[in-house]
Amino acid sequence: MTDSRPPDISELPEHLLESVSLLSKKWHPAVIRCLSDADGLGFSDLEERLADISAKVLNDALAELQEYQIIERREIAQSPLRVSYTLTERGEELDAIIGSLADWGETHLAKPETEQVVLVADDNDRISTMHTAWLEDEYTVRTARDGEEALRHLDTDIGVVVLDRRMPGLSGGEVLDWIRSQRYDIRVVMVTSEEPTPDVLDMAFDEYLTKPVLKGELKAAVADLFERREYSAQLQEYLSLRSKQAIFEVMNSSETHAEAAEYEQLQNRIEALEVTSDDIADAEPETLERISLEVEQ
Amino acid sequence: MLFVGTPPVDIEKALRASSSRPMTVAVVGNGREAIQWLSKAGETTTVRSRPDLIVLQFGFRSPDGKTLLVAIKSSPYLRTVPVVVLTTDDADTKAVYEYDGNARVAAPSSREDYGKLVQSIGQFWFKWVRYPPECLFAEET
Repeated sequence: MTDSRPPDISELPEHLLESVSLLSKKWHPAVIRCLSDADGLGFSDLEERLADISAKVLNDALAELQEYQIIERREIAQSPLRVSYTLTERGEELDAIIGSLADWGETHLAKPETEQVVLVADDNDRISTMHTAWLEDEYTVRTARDGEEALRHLDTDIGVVVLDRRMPGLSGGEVLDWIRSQRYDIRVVMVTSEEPTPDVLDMAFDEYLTKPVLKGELKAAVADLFERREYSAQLQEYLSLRSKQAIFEVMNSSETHAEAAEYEQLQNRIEALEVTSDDIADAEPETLERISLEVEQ
Repeated sequence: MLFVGTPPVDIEKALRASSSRPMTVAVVGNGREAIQWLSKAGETTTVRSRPDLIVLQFGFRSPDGKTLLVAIKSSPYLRTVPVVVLTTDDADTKAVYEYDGNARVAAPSSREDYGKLVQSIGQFWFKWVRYPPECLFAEET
């Protein structure tokens, strides 16, 4: 008996390996998907839809897909030359498989959305209940009736705190100082019934809302702050300072000397951050609009 | 070391007797002052102001001992700092460990015993206990 060799370990048929390797190329499935819901696209249409692709890479991908007869190139005008790419029959079959693969990935590979937790701290029962109710649809909300309860609820699961500035016992400012000094990665929206005073500039909140806070206003601020947690520390600080600057600008304009000095200090801190317009471009347009900031060129 | 509560003896003096190493002791009377003190200590970017040991003598208010313990043990900055709880009430014992306190010690009633206890606490946490060479809290940069 000579046939004592172990069976070939690669039992995968050659053509399976070939099709998997074809699909594993970064842009091939994307090109196929693009063509699947169009009656033929030109080179520049594809370039536009696949925003990050370079002309050379697209050219190579199209050439290879044609070689495999997955797509078809047709000249629809001679002068100037216009070309249109469409899926062939076998291309359409492959597109269906890619669709199933995408569904499978979504079901089994997509990361579960992490729970977003908000802490609402307000000593006014009516307000804390109302704010909690507004946010409960979208977030897991913890409610605290004073600063001490807020301390008991604080942990690293919390992403955003809606903090009343004036509370008996530990004040909102003290809770805010605690959050910052303990290195919590938490964005804070300070809520207050008073008009802002210059001393708010010393507080390290990210946003400031004046009571009565409207439902849409609160929801927008919280959503925005969850978004901002993803930004760089530099951009976060920049947005927080600009937000303060915006408060300053709406404050009663009977500007005292002290206020002017504070404002100048704020301006210096903003400049010291050396944020470029490229950095700012990372932020959501809604965020910039909220703090009435337009991207300066 | 940070001591929170109203000690019947001079904590600093008692600790000196247990260690030859220079030691800074801060004593604050209530929970609010403790929160303010710790916030201030955490404000700086150097970890030198981070306490090496916190002793809570239960009985203070606003916030109370358990709240302060929870706040310290939930804090990313302070959670690895050992916290010793001194209390006369045995009913607190379970809560101390449940809230991740490092030790609950019965507070003696006589001043003399109290002084000796503080000395022993200092000896244990600053002389016998071993820590890694680097600080347990690493600042992310």
